[in-house]
Amino acid sequence: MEAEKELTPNTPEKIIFCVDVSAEVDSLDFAKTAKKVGMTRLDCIKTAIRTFVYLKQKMNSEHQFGLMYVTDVPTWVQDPTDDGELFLRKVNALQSRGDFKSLDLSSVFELVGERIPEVNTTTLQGANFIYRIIFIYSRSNVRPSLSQPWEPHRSGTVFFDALYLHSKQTKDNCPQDVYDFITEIDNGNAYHLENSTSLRKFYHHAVQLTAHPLQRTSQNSYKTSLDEHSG
Amino acid sequence: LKRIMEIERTYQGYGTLLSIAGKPFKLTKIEDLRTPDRFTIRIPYCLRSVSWHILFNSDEPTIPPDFIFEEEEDFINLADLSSIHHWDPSNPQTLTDIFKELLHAYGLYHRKEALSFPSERLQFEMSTLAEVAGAEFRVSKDRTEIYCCVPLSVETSNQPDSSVGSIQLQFTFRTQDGRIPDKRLSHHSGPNATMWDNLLQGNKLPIWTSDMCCINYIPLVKDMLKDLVRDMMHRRNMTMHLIEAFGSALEYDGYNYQKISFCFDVPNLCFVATFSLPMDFPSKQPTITVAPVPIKTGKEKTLVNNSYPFSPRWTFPEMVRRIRVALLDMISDIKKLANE
Repeated sequence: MEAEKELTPNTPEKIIFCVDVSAEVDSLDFAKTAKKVGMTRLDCIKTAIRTFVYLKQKMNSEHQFGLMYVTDVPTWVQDPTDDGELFLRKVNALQSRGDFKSLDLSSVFELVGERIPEVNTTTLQGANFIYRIIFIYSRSNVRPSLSQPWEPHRSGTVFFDALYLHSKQTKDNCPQDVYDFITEIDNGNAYHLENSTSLRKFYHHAVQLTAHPLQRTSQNSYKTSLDEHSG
Repeated sequence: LKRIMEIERTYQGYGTLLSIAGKPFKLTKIEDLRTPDRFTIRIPYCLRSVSWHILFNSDEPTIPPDFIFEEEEDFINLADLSSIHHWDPSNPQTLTDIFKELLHAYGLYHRKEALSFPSERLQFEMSTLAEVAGAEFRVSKDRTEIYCCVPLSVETSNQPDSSVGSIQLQFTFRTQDGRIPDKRLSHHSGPNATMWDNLLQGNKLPIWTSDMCCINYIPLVKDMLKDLVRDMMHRRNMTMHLIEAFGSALEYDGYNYQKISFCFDVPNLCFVATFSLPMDFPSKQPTITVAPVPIKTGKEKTLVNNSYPFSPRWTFPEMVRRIRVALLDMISDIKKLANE
């Protein structure tokens, strides 16, 4: 019986959104299903993050949200805060910044370590917070690199999730390569979600990401159902 | 000096873990490099800490240490301590034995003080409390207040961790008027500290009726705590049944089990359902709150249902079945809300 799994506390999280703002976020591939005309991928990302924050704050008002964006380098925007409105204002101010042909993801982890030194020292026992980086990437033809392997402090308190939005595979791009790269970054409990055209699926992914790292099942086992079944 | 340093190292090493009569105490060094043989010990007592200074003589390691007590200088005559007479630097227990004896003497001193007030009422209360196992007394220096701390052990058959019951009930008496004593609950920080934090938060103690006395009040508090734990177990149990029925939860209240959320993706609709379990569940039914996804700016609309068919006498699986039905019945309304 699945429910016999131990229940664990929902320790408050400091969640850092790392949003790719290269030009591809201006694309309109979600426009077909988006009700609002002219909704770009970035607009949908903003709505997804708003949904995420609203839901998370209802689950535990102590969760905090931080923000950075990436071009070919990361830029820090907002330290983790539980002020949802402040955070979402910063998210709404994100804009695309042009074409970028590279991204070393190690620089993202480095910046997080600099701005939040506790990620390198906290242990689960008596932790006030756990930490999560949610990477939202949008380039179909730029495979990121990782100059230094990501070895989160072996404490069980640092997590990495990714949401990859991309165009359909053609002979000129490499979304499969990119997705393969992303799935390598895993501390054992990562959620790697990808999407190209379904806005509905994208929002569902955003909600799935609200799942608390200490309580959630592995991505492969994640399943909900309203069907009656024998217990 | 070498011998002193050895003892010192031994105690420093596990100073915070040693316990005297089941209490953790803390041994710290007084900052003075010229005399590395002075320590301060802090012992929890009656919801406070007592600090005593211990002075070794590094030139004469075979002589037992001296003590400075900040308050109550005269609670003990050191020459009366048998453990001082049996001081043996080669025995790692020798210092602990002294602390044990000192703590016992300290407790007896305050107990005697507490019993020294002529008022009939105070005599009654103090003498009945003195019979309670583990009760600690402390009388304020100006003798205007008496504090009495009583440990409560709360048995919970479901709780795997036996240290659930490390709760203390403290009574504060004012010796100069006949007012009813102040009461407060406190718990040691331990593995279940967060659980007690959550359970005791905002919780009201039982009413002190006009003919009440401490010895009769204690079982009322024990019952209240037992109920709190029992109700928490119900919520925990229900949380597990909801997970069993609906699948992977997004997040649940893992401290007090008062909330759990799931995401459901059905044809043409994606929504999040949150089940709120009130403190007096199952006497009161869980509330179902639903939000369709995505959440748009200024459109945080939800549907709330706490009047679906429910009975506290049903089994938890039956309650969950009825909740599922209620949720399915709400789908068309959720769709309408999503399309607004």
